Amino acid sequence: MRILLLEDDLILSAELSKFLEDNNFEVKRVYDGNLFLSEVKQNNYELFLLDINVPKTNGLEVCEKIREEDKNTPIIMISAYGDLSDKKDAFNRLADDYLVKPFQFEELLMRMNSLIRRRSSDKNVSEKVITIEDLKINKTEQKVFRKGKEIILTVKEFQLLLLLAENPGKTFSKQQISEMVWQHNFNTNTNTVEVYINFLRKKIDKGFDVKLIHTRSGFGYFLNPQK
Amino acid sequence: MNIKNKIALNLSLLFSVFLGTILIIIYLFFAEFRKSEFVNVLKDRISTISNYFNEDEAIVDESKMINDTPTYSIHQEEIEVFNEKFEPIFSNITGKKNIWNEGDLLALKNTGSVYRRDTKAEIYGEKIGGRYFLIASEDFMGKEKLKYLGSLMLISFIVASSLVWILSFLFAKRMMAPLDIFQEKITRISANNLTERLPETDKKDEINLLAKVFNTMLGRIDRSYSSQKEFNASASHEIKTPLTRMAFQLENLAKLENENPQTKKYIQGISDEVYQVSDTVNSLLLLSKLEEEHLRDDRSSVRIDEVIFDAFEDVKRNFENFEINFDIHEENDSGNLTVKGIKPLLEIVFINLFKNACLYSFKKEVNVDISEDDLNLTVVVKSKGDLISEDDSQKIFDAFKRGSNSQQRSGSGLGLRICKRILDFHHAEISYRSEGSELNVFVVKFPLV
Repeated sequence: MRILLLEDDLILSAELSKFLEDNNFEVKRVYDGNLFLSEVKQNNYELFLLDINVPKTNGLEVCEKIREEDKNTPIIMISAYGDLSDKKDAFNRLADDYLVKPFQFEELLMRMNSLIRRRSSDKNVSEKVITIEDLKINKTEQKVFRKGKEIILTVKEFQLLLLLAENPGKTFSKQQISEMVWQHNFNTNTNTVEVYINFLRKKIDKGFDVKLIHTRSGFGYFLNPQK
Repeated sequence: MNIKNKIALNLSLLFSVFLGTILIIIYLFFAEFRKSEFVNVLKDRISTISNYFNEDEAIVDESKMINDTPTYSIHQEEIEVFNEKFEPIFSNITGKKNIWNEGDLLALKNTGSVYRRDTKAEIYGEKIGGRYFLIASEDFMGKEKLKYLGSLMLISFIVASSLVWILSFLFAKRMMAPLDIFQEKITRISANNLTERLPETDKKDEINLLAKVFNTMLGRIDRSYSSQKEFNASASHEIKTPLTRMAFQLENLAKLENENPQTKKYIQGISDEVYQVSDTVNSLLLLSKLEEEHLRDDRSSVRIDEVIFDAFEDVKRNFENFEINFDIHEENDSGNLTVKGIKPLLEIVFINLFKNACLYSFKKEVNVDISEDDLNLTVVVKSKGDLISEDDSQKIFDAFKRGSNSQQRSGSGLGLRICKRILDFHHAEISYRSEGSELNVFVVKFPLV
């Protein structure tokens, strides 16, 4: 896996690439923004790591220039600036992630792997859109529509809806929902699941004739169109 | 009352009193003048009438006497003449009571003349050649003149006063207008808006001088604030770059296989300290940033449960076995766990609370309860551990204050201070209490209205 690293501090650049090489990445190091941009044109890379404060063209401008032509290759900004406004700048220029120096190598590795995994899974998702009655769930964009109108859900609400919608008609107990949506180490009690089902009902079913989310009392919840 | 109105009010009041007094004095003088003029007329009349009497107390020619009126016409005059014994020898009053009384006659006898004003008429009496002449009449013309003068003065007073009141208010407003502009501009000036300047003119008045001095002062503040901001940003960058070098080198060093366990332990220790210093730098920077006004514009609706989930994920990266027991209590159906705020900042609050729970509790475990009613959204974070003493609990939200339960553990003493400041910024409250012998409870309360 080839990575292009923009970092003007020689020691940081050397240490970082040593770690990445130990983890089976192939790292090309450049020290200024202009060199980085010409390198991007000449070779193919699977991920870009950009420091912001570098000579000639700074990391944010580099990120913007890359995104003009390449929308897919993951970009992680690494910077000593940890301000909210700095992060906002980076995400506005379509960076995928932002790590504040100093960070632990393991954290960088986790984030890199997660981005690479997501990119490859994006390519493999067979069924990107789930449709049940007039409810549409776009899995890649994580967007939900009912009768063509977008419904804004939080991450957990989306995960809960997805769990039910991917298995229409199947009843999930509160315990199962709690484990599958909140995973290990996050213990929600059954009341919390009820609250989220309630939130979801308010957003998905309220005001529509066909109710989608149902309770099988004593067992749990399922999703199915029903008058 | 503002200065503007005070000046206008005092000025107008002073003018009104002054003008009023002058007009009243003029009126009184004129009234006195009218009286003496009328008395002279009555005197003349008496003197004319007296010429028509001969020594035998008989009237020479009555019809001539009555018609011999002076140039100044006397309205409905009533004349009565008495001899020395006060026996009436002439009267033109028919069928009604005399308008003079005993007192008048007595005064006339004693002093030789009398003047008195009745409700309507004025009475004058004089002794001429052993006879007493009394005349009563109403000074219609004089009174009319006086009345006319009075109305004229009253109208002039009202018009002049109103004009002065209006003009002085306008004048004061115009004079003080620069101060209003100052006030508006100064209100707008904040840490982010130090380039704003007050308007200056070429005039040499006090207000303009004040503007000049204020602008000079603002310039100085702007320069020092900018250099301080610049220093903060570059200092933190300059501190963090070598820290990052150290951290990266230590990480690679720790991975070298030939190091013995003791060395690895030291490396880990140094590495922890490096992250600690970096955390402190970040925290100090964040505290100084919270002063900035523009942050207020970044507020949006934030789901507090999402904030807690993200904070949990963040803390879990460093504390793998961190566990959370999560519960929601909704008082009514309309709740939606939403507050107005800045999500990344609110995340820092819960990251700090969770980190504390991991560092200072027996188990890396917290209980989080969210409850919502019509007025507040409350998040209670509980963890089991050594209790914070009564003394310490008063100070834990101050900068660089650490409870006695935090000895032996690294920390900047800024975490809870930052929580407090972020929550202050959100108009929310944080408080601490202990429950039983080992439960530390932090309560975060967001107002919903």
